[in-house]
Amino acid sequence: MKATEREDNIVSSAEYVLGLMTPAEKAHFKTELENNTELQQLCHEWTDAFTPLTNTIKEKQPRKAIKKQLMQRLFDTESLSEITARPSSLWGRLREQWLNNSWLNIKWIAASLSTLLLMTIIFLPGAPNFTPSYIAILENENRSLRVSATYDDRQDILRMETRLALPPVERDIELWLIVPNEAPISLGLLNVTNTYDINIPQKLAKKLAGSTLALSDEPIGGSPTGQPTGAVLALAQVTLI
Amino acid sequence: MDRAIIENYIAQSALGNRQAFADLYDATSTKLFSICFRVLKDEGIAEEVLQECFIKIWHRANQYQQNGLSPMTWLITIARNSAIDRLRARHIHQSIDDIDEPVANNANSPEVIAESAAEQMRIEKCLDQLEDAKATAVKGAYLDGTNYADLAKRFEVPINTMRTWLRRSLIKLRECMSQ
Repeated sequence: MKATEREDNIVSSAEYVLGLMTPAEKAHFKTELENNTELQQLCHEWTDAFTPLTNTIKEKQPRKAIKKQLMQRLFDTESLSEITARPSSLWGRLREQWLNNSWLNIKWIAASLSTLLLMTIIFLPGAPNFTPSYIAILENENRSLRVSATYDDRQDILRMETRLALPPVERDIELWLIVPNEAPISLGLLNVTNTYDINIPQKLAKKLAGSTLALSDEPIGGSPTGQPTGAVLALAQVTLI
Repeated sequence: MDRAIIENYIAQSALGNRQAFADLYDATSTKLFSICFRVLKDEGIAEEVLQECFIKIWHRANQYQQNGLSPMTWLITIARNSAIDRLRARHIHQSIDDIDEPVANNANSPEVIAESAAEQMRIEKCLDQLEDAKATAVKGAYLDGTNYADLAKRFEVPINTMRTWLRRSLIKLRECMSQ
């Protein structure tokens, strides 16, 4: 083997281990890595070499509650909300933000309600020539819930397809649109048995790309406050297909 | 001894032993959380990533023996890579100017101090042989997930220059580590 090829391998495995590669380089390298024992060995050696640097990191303990949450997420299969609950810190942070602007809450609730009224929900077989251009896949940690939301931006139709292993017991799942720096907007309760389309009002449609869809665990009939109240089951960004 | 204890926790976790998994968490979560927090600089996000790490560890415990890494190296790699993935996903471009200098830490429980002090001295000795800026760049990439673009900005050189610098430094580092 030429010295330069060996050097290239040394460098690329270090870049891979350090995380310096672009996504394309990384994908290419991973394919090579599968069948190249020299690269595997080099990655192994670099990993061993760099790991002791973590001994210099200042120690910080996680909060005690984290262990409990983790164990619940992994092992508590009593109810949907418990097995699928993400740590509630995201909602917590969002909720804190809204509370800080409490006078705005009423306005937001009103806006959410009027949005709901504006939206018409059509059950499939739905609109003709549905051509999705955006997608968000919402999946919970243990993959018992998977929702594919595809969006046709010419017709302003959001198509929801749900696969759910365990139907929620005496609970509903509510769908939310989260536009950066705005309060979540309810897109209604998730129909967990049928694929269905949501007509998005034009005002909201403009904001859909790049925003986030989220599912929350709510009492029957949906959130009583117009804001998410239960655990976040899954969330995903709406991205270009 | 310590290595054997952690290995046993992982092996038991692979068999579905929840108590062993809880013990593994107790023994290693501070170390792994410190790594997540170092990369992410946000306690709430680091907590989420820590949970994701342990979920991965629970599901992948049966793959541990195959990868040939020591148990702490395996766990640390999962934590570091998960934290860096999250950092990149959030498009946070943290300037490495903001990063505190690492401080020596004597507070970890004995079993979580990654393998041996000798190995730590070896990498540090070899990094010392590089120019300061280059050693800082390599450490930044490993400990903070700094990418080429961030490093180029930090050292005020074009990205390609940064790549050439770092590649040469990695070859030198490798030569030193192999001695």
